[in-house]
This record gives sequence, structure tokens and C-alpha cells, in this order.
Amino acid sequence: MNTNYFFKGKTWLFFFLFFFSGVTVSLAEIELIGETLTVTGFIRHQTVFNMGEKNPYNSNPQYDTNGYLASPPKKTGYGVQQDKNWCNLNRTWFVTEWNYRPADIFKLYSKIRVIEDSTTNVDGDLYEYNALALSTDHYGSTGRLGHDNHVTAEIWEMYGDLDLGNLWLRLGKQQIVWGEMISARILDVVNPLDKSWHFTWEPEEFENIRIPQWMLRAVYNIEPGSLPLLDELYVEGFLNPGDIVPTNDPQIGNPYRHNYQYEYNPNNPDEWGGIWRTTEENDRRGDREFGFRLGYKLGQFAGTLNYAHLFSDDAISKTTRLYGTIPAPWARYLGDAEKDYPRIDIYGMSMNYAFDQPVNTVMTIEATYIPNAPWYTIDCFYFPAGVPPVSLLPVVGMDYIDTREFNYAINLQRFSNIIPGQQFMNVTFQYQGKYVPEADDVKWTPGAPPPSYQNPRGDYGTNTGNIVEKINTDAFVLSLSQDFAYKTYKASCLIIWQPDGAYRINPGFAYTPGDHWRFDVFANWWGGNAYDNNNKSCLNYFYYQDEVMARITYQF
Amino acid sequence: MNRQSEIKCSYFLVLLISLLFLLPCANSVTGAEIPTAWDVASRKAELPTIEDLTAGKVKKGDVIDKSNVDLVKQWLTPGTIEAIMQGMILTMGTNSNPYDGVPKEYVEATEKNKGKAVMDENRAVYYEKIGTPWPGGIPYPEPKNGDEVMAILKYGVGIIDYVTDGVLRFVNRDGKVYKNVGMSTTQVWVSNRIFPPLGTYPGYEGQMFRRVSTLTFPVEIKGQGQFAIRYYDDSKQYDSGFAYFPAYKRTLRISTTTWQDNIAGSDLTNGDSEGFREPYADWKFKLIGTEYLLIPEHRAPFPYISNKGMDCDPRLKWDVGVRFPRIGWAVFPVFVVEAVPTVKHIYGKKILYLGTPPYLLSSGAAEIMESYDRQGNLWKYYVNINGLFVEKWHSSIPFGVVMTDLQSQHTTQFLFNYTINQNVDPARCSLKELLARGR
Repeated sequence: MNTNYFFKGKTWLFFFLFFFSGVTVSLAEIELIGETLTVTGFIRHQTVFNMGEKNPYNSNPQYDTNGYLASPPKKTGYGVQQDKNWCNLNRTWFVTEWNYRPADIFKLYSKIRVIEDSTTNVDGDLYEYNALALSTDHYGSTGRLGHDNHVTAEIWEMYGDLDLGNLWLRLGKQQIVWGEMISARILDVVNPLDKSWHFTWEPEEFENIRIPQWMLRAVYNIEPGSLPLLDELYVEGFLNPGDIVPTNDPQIGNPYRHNYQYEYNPNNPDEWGGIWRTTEENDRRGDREFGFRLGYKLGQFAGTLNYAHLFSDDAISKTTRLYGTIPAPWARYLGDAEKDYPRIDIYGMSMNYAFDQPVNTVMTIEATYIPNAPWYTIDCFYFPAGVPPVSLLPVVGMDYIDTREFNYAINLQRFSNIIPGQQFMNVTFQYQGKYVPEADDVKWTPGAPPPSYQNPRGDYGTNTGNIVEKINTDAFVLSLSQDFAYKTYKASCLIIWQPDGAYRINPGFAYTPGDHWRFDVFANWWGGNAYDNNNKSCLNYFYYQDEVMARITYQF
Repeated sequence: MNRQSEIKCSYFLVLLISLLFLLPCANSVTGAEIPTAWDVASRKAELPTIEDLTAGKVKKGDVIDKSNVDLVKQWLTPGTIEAIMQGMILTMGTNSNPYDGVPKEYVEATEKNKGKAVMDENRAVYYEKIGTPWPGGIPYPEPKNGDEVMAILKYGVGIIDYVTDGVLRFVNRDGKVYKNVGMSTTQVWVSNRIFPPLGTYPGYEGQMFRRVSTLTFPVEIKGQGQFAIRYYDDSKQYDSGFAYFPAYKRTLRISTTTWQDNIAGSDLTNGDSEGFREPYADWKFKLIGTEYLLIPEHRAPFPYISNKGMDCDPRLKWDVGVRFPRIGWAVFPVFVVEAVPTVKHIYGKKILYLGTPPYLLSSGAAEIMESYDRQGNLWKYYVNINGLFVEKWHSSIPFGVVMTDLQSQHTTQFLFNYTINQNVDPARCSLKELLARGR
């Protein structure tokens, strides 16, 4: 542990916390101007202990990105870490929520947060990475007041609400969530994710990692009686006029790094994790995203019909030029590529039905259809070992095609009185999946399959059968949540099992003794042997990320 | 006529003359002539005081605790007695006058529609014929059974909307508040309305009420809310419920068992609101009787609670730490109704103590509710903190409720500001509103 860290550079943070510790005696919000301007928030520290293995995407210089032995070892993007780290995340949060409500019909809200990430300070085995990187350098309007690799102060959310009776408007930097499923984003498609600090493993799932964007959201409530039999009818829409932000993936060295892909960095050859040089990023900043949905309730049926016009959150690369090779022992081709965020159209629906006594269960179905989902073509490669078939050069590199994609989930939820005298247990069971009809023609990543999945011809440029890149996967999810003793204690467990042979177990325990303090302990275990841990769609892909998280929160 | 016959005749005359003197004063209560609670409920007699009932042994202003509870035990519910044994102290307060604390429009509607209520096999109440919604007022001023009493609670509410903004205080057995949760609720009745639009709110036919409830603090759960629709005949169409979870920013459909789940982990379940807020379809009711009981007085001597439940008047005393507020109690006639669930339930039964007309609360809330566990043991004790009389609404409204777990001796108090009859648009109770109140 780097103990000097505590005495260097961050003293302002302690002053900050000390100042607010004096004003956190309020039961509810701190009223600054009566009830017109209030502030509330929390201070949190979380540490995630690494119970798994060294991250192979940071730490194994013995292998190249395809899983082939590389000799001699080189400190490349996948070899920046020599020893196993004990700490995956060490973060302190100071989050404030400001409410300004000068009139009943108008409200301003802002979530301002100061984050201090000291992961690499406390664990010397980690490569020094930027813990607070943005998605790309192109995207600057994040509301950051200032930052370096370890500390940032930022306006995470900021919006105004205008309530005009049946019309409700929200304008500003916000999250829009349409989906209802757990651990899956079927209809929750509007905002991208910040996977750069705890991937998607936070107890609040996506709440703290969904990147707010500057958007206009409007809901119009249509009076009952306008259409017969309908209890509820509303139209909702959003417009993002150009604040398009892509997924934020972990940097090289980050314990949550989950693939080898990285573009060539001429300023730091040690971070050389890929073989292509990105000559252009076709970012979508300035383009428009929009969507709408129609919500209804008809008797015990309720649901929505959705449409969204978006751009892919994840970059997809396309080779523009192949121009050389790296000599043995790596023997790869070099090339130029451009990153693209293709346009996608998402048609979706949700429907739920509440079963009466004695079933007492809510069934929810969500589904989306994307006619133009971008997937890498089956015959694209990005650095096949050895010499690729000459016939593939120079026309074949990385490329993608639009394919049809279906995502679906069915969810059953019930509150059950399992333990007499205690709160109800929330029991949720879910089945979810992805179906790409042309799955045999596309793949997750442009990389070639590892040796064990080479086809008989040894032809890495094709992957007919799509064995390791199996895209059409499904999973069963069981979520249990039980409060005890007036919600002083809470136990929960999330289990995801994939019939392909992979699972995730995520137990948690929380202790909330009063108004202010909360203590959490969560764990994550991944297991299974599906596709030798190589399939990104299978949970055992994250086998190295077993962890235990401890979190202390003081809320005010 | 012999001597013996003369004596008998004299006794008869004395008795007759005495009766002739007494009959004109039948509405006054003197000494041992205590009218029955039913007589008082049916306006045939005046309401006695505790002094009348105890023959002067207990007077207004007296304090009842476990040392002298035997003096009034006869007029206390089992839960009240147990709470007193656990340290609750009662101050004898002031009786109310008939219809003191309900809007005059409510009384007018009751008189206008008297005798025109009809009930179908689902216990839904209609006006003159099945299918015509009840226009408002008390459907059964002199109910004959449990279903008719409970019809008052459901179809005869004296308000058209309410908004509460307050705090749930979690009090441990030592009487210390260890947790606070803010909660705001808006409920709008769209049927049986006694204020315009009268009767049924256009566009909301077939519904009874709409309700949105949101937690306002701490920040961890701020914005968490529920939206529920109760239908006119909840046997034909069961409640609809949705919840919004700000931690996930999701709106979820919720199952029907939610009525049995605790509000924010407190002693109160969602179905305990107003003593009984669950769908009638899941319960059967039996009228145990009409009795005099000591219940919290309807007009408090001073405002107990203010500032959204955050401030308590220093004149209000508390017992066992702050477990029990020491408020005024007075004699009222009440219907005692046994409610037994017909579905699997956390409660074995509820005993409801409902003010009879003309001494009922306009909110329709039970004065006292006692719930029993599935083994038949007394479990929880619900009592209103009544007392704020608002002249412009001509209504007595509560400052809050106290729900005590008599077994664990844990208590939850919901203290609030309460406004009624603001003609709230039912659209304010909608999915859109649930979202707008969230974050």
C-alpha cells in the first residue's frame, strides 16, 4: 500500500468532508432557502477486494491477444501488470443532490459529485491507469469542473422539470430508463454506460454508471375516457439534440478491463494493445437521437410500445488500410482503422400483467427488434497469428454488417411473506436471451478464434458454426431480497445461470442502523466452463473478476 | 278493592307518574340511566361522558395509567389496555357533538340519499339500482351487519382528496427514535364525491380512488413511490399498482401482495393506512357490536404536530420515551367489526373500531385497529392522533397515527401535515406523477 498517498495532494478533500460533517445533523434535507432550495446527499467509501485472478487483459505478457504464446514477453497493453492485485477498486464519493423548487410546477435538480479514486495508490501491483477517463477525447461536455487521473468534480445530472398538468417536461442532463428487467437492458437503451470503474457490478446496477446526456424528455398524459377501457394512456418522447456519448470502457491497466482491444498509442508504445491505428473516429456528436413510447393500461394489462432512433453505444471498427507486418515472433498485420457508431433503430414492447390471488405475481415481458444491429462480419479478422491467407489481403480486414437482432426477457415478480413477522421477500425470476437470425455470419469481436476452435482448414478468416462466438445465448435469473428488523438489515442474492455452462452469484448484505449510516458487503463470483472462458456473452468470461466489495455510506 | 290491591295500584301510579316525568327527558343522561351506544348512534340519545359512564369516578382531565386502568377498563379495547400496561397514559378529554368534524355537504348528502343504498353480491354499493354509482354520503347510517359498516368506510368517505406530508418515526422499545423516513401521499376519490364534480369524476368511471405515495428522505430512498388504483368493485377488478425505484430509475408493476408489505420497513403495512385500506375482495366482515369506547378525542386542545411532522408542540407529553403521545381520549360510540382475510395473509384477523354516525371521522379512518397474528395473538395496535379542527373544511383531521407492535414493543409513528378537499386533479395520481416525483 502506498501510505504516502494519504498525505499528498488530497488534503482539500478531507477539508471538504470535514466541512459537511458539521451540517449533516438534519433528519431530512438541508434547507438552504426554506423549502425552496434544499440539498441532500451522501459520502461513501468503497473498496473492492480482488478474490479472483490477475486480469489476463492486463497481466499476461506470455500470450498475445489471441491466446497464442508470444515470445519474448513484452510489456504491451495486455502485459502491463506482473503480479496479482488485491484491490480492484478503492473510491470515495461525495455526492450532493440539489433541489430548487421556486414554484409547484417547476423544479431544478442537480447531482454534483466529487470522486476520488485511489485504487492504484493503495495497490502498487496495478499499472497506473486513468481511473476517470472519459469515453473518448471527443466528448468534453460532461459537466466536469476539473479532473485528473484520480479526482474529479462533476455535474453528473442537471435538469429542470416543468409540470403543466397533463404535460410534463424534463430538460437537461439526465438518465432515461424504460426497461424493467434486472441485470439486463432490453428496453433500457437510451443512455450509454460508464463501465470504466466497476464495470456493471454495482449493487444499484446501472444507476451510477448510466451516463446522463443532455436531452429533452416529455410525457403527455392522455385523460382517461378519451379511449374506452383504458385506465392509463400516455405518450412519452425524448430528443437528444447532439450530446451523443459512447460507452466508456476501462483503460489499459484497469482491473475491470475486459478485452484486448486498444488502438495504437504512438505516445506510449507500452500501451500498445492492438495492431491497428485509428485514423478516424466517426463520432456522432452533433447528430440527433430520439425515441418515443406509448404507454397504456387496460384492465390488469399494462405496457408500452417503443421506438428509438439511436447510435450504437459501442464502437465498431472498420479497416481502411492494411499496410504492413510485424516481424516474428508476433507476425501480425498492421493497418489503419476507423471507429464507427452505426445508426440503429430499436422497436420494442413491454407488457405486464398482475395475477390476482392466490398467484399474486406480476409477469412482465420485454422485447426489442433491431433491424440494423451492427455485428462484425464472420470473415473479418484483426490480427490473426501467422500469415493470413493471401486471398484475404488486402480487401479483408475488420468490417461489419447490419443484421437483425432480437432481445427478449420474461420476468416474474412476487412479494412473499417467507419469514413470519418480517418484511416481504422480493422474489424475481427472469428468463432472458438474445437471438440473431444471421448469427452464423457475424461475430462479437473481430478477433480470430483461439486454436482449439480453428476449423479443419486452419482458416482463421472464417468461423462457420460460430462456436466460440456463439451469439444466441440465454440465461435464467433469480433475485431474492429480504429485509429484516424494520429494514435495519438486508440480505440479497442474485444468481444468473446460463445453460451454455456459466453462472454469476452475487450475494449481498446491508446494515442500516439509523438515519445516516449504511454498511454494505457484496460479493461476485463467476464460474462455469463454457467455451473455455472465451465467449464474451458467457458469464465465465469474467472468471478473473471474483470480488468482495465493502462499502460505507453516510447519508444526509 | 282490598287493601293489597290498593297498595299495588299505588305502586303502579307512582311508577307511571315517574315515567311521565322521565320520558320528556329521554335525551339527557343522568346517573345510572346510560343509553346504549346504538341509541346514541341512531340519534335517540345523547352521548354520555366518561364521568357519566363511571358515575363520577373519572372526570375530564384525569389521567389513566396502568395503576388505575381498572376504572375504565370496560371502555377500552384490548390493544389500548395492553398499550397502557406497556406505559401509555391517557388523558380524559372532550366528547364531540354529532357531525362535529365532517363537512356539511357530507351531512347533506347523507340525508338526501338516505335509504337508497343497495348492495350487490360483491358488497359493492350502488344508488337505488345495481350499476348506478353511489353519489356520496353515508350509505348505511344505521348499518345492520359488518358489510354495511364497512361500506361506510369505502363508499361513504367525507372527503374527496387528501395530501399528507410527513415523517415515519421508528421508535424502539426504549422509546428512542432511531430512524426517520419522509413520506408524502396524495389520494383522490373519483367516486362518491361530495364536492364538484359530484358523484363520479368524468373519465374515471369504474374507479374508486387513485393514490400516489412517495418517500421523501433519506436520500437512499428519496423518490421511491407507489401508484395504486382501487376500483369501484374490487372483486371484479383487483387493484392496480406500480412502484418507482429511484435507485434503479425504473417503474415496475407490483403484485397484489404489496398491501401486506411494510411501508418503508415500518410497523405499518400499506393496507394498514386509515386502519383498513386493503381490497374488500380479500376479506369478510362481521359486526361484533356497537359499544362505547374511549378513543382519541376529535378536537385537540392545541396543535400537537406541525412542520410536516418534524415538530411536536412542547405541551404534548410523551410516555415511554417518545413511544406514546399523551393525548386526550373521550367516549364515543363505535362499531366493532371483525375482519378476517380470505386469502393467505400476515394477519389472522383485524378488529376495527369505527366511529358510528354521527361521530365518525370524515377521512373514513378507523379510530383504532388491532391486528392479530396467524396464531390468534394480539400483535399490532393502530390509533389515530386526532384533533386538528379546520374551520374552512369544517373537519377534524388527524396529526398522525401510531402503530405499535405490542409483541416486540416497537412503534412507528406517522406524523404529518394533512390537507383535504383541495379538488386535486385525479391526473395527479398517475404513472407520470410517479415519475415526476422521483429523481
